[in-house]
Amino acid sequence: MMPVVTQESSLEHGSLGDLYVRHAPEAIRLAFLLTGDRALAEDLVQEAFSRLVGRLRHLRDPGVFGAYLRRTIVNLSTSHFRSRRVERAYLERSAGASEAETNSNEELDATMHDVLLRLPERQRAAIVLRFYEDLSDVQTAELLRCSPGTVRSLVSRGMKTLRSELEGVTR
Amino acid sequence: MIDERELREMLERRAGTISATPTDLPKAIRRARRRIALNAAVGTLVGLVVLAGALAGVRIIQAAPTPAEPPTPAPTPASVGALAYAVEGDIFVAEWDGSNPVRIADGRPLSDCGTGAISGTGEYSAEGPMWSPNGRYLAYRHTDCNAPGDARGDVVISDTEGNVVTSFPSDGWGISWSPDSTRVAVWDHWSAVGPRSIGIYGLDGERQTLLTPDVRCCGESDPVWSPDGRSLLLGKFEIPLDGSTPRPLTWIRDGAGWALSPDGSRVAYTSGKSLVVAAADGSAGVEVLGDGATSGIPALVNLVWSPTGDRIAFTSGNGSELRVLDVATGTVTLLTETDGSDVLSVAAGGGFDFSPEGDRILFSKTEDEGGGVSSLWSVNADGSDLRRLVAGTTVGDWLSPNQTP
Repeated sequence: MMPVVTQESSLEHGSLGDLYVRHAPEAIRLAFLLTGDRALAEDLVQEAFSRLVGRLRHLRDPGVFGAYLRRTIVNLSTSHFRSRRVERAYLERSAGASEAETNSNEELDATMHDVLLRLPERQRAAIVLRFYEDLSDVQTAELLRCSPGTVRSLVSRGMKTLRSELEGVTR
Repeated sequence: MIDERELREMLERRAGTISATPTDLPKAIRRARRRIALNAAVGTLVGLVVLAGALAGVRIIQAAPTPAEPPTPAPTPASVGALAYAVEGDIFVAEWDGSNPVRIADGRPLSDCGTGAISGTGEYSAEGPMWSPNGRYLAYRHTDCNAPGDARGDVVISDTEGNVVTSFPSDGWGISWSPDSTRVAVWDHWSAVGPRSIGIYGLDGERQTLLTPDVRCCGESDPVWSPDGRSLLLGKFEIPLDGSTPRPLTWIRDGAGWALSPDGSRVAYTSGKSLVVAAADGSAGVEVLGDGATSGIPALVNLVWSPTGDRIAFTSGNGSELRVLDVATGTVTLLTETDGSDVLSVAAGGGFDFSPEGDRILFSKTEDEGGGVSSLWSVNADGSDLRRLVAGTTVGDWLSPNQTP
């Protein structure tokens, strides 16, 4: 998981390559969980880097780069999925991909992920940030720009939908 | 039935299907670099074109707002120091210490809304009450429980007994009252990457002004009224409401905290790990608290001035400490600290404040590293009489009278 606070003591002397090597793998995983599409995840992460790196010189506390990157990825993925055309295209692709799964556990994971990806953007983001990134309600609220109570509500609603959609599905 | 553990494991496994490194690292980096270069070039080229707009960051569609006539007769004001807070979707007004609470809005827990658990019409959840400076009104966020999960909320303005004066749609978290208590400023629409707008609404619920800040100007900030009520402070800009050119607040750094003194004459802001007090225009800055490495006080944030402007309270140590600084002497007093498992925090739109007399400080504490139960606490400005006021919320507001005309 992407560390909440990373030490970037060499940031001022480091390069974009160093930052990319250090942060891109976890950033891509986060973007993949939010979008379900590996190529799209890489694109979003590169876009996030391109937006953030230009601001690095103004970042007084370079240790927060990881947090800035995470926030940007969540925002970009949310913005991206507001394009229904892209979302429809993705769902069609993911449906095809699901059929190709052979392992039952993988099938179930894929099914769960598909249901997760059909949740409203903020519910999906709240669940991934809470249960994959292990952020607290307060940290998630700061990222999603809402109150901790709203985070709990988003997670609660999302979990209710997941349970409903996956009722009867067991390992 | 799927539980949280299964969900966590699924997410881990799905993430694990992604290889640990990008497929073509050098190429990916080159692409990112090219994007940065392209962004810079495009930025330079369009810089002149958008200079006015980008520097201003704001276009005012309807300038020179006209303050609405307040409702007549005006509601009776609450007592100075009264505490307003929300728990489980209800709004309460109580004495300063949380005693004698009166529920003025009967809502439902936000976690129940939109889940199908609530079938009745008109059910709602309320949170984040903020007193108008004259104590006659409360503004709070209102969520329709029957609306879809991602639906926008509303802002409700009520009198001190909960009678709704007006309401209007809003996309914001922090609600800022004008100093004269006739208007509120709140995000009308907020997007991380797309168009944004701030609405200024009167007590009649009519939007008087719509500001459309450039996405680059103001990050995650909520609007704050200037003490004279003539402009909004937003991110790195002061935006006059008469339509004149916004002024960049050059002293605000990315990620830095800042707060205007109650009379608007001075500003306190963090610079690196230092705390600086300067004139309101950023000039004549004096470092009143040194770098954490030398002062031993790390990561100070969440600044708030005392009503008399002689002290500044702040949290430090990633939210594990609450301290107060005597501005004149530079003396810092530790008021309370946690063992690190609890987070002392400032929720946007309240939750951290001096009492009107300046003798007590209101703050919130959230257990389990910010993921557990939240509560409002109070401590004397000398560190004595630490007490919990209300459980189940991070946001409260003590009614303080205007510090400026």
